[in-house]
Amino acid sequence: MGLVEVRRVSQGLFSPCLADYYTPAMLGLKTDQEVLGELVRAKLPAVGALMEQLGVLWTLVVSRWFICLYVDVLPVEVSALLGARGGQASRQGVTRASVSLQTVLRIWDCLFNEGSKIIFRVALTLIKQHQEFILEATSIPDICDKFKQITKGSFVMECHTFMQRHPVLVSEGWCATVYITLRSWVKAGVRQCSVTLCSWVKAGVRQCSVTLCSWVKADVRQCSVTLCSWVKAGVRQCSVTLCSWVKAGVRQCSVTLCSWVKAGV
Amino acid sequence: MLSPYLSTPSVVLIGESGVGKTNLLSRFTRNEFSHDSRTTIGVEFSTRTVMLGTAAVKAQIWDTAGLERYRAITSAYYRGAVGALLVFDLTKHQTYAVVERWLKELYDHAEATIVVMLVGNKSDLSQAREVPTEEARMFAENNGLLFLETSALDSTNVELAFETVLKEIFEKVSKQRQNSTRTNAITLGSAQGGQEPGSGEKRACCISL
Repeated sequence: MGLVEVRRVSQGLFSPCLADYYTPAMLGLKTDQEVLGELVRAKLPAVGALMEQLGVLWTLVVSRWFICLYVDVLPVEVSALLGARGGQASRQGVTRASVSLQTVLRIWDCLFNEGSKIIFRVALTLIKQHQEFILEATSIPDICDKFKQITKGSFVMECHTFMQRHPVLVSEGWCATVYITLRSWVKAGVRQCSVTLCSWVKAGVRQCSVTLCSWVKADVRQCSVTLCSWVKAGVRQCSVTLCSWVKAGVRQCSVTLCSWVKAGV
Repeated sequence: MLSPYLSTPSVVLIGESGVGKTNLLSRFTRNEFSHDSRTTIGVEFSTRTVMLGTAAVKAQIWDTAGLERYRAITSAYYRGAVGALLVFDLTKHQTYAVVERWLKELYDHAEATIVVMLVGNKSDLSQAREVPTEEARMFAENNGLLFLETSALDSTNVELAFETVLKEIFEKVSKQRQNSTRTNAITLGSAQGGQEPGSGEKRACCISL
């Protein structure tokens, strides 16, 4: 393996975000799960809406996918079939059955080559391909079950087709912004209020995240109480006003805000 | 008539890795046992409907990974829980020795009103026992926990353990409801069936404002 390849592989595997998967706080993992949530919301809105409606945390369904990088999730081994090594077999044009079962290895090839975005692509592909099936779910257990089932079957066996059918990702710039914002939120533990935050993000209040984070660090509970009551009162529409308040540092006034909200101001 | 909060109580299974949490759950929800089950990654989830008196209660059970490295993910699920089974392996004293730490971790994240049962699992391996029943029972009593010894392998007490915890939750909530004019489901339950950890807590705070 040449130096260039080595560098590429190590960049793919040990890029900062992936490395953060396995630290005590698992910040990278939590963030990536939220990023996936945003991606699904953008690319597959029906699934995103269902997940929100049922209140399923992405951690619940994709932790294993992300932590294990799809090992033990998607098919790994081919040798049992024909005793031929997949890569060679494909090059020599041996029967298709012999090369079709090594989806994980194929994913890892792409992961080494292109970096951690592959993790999202695979997840999105799985979800997109089985969108109708997932949308049949009516409860949390249903969802858990569906997400387990979509990693099985003929679709994931055909690794080449599988890897080529990934949906086009939204712009890298968007991803980067969302990633940074979500990461700071996750770090500060603000994600409990995800409903509010999501609507704020949609309304373009993203630039407030720094302020929010400092609020939350100062007093998580108080902040979430406020946010909660805002959400309940449907203050979403006022998010522009809120934004300017937030910018002005209205933290001390949050109790007042709360009572205003309650009073319907 | 049960409120929606009460009818889907969520219970967490916690304890060291390898004590048999996943098998306890699979025995309870599917009547299955696996000899070579793998370590749980993150959190798994299962439900089962049980009858408490005349009421059907659909319990949501969260099976958490015992490994320290997943603590960042698993602790999020303590928050919405109204009940917990703190499991140790009665053939491995080390898993019992750290029970106190688990308890602290649970109370750090969960409601103070959470119903906790200490469960000594693998009671079928009586010849290899390292934790005397009385010692564990005393610990449970001193800390206000329920206590049972179970075997996921031969099904001993598995049903009883879950049902006792659910019954206790049920009674606790009913009692609180009688004592207060406010809807107590707010403090004990979780609106989205435990999916939004902390929602119960936040609501309670909202009200006290």
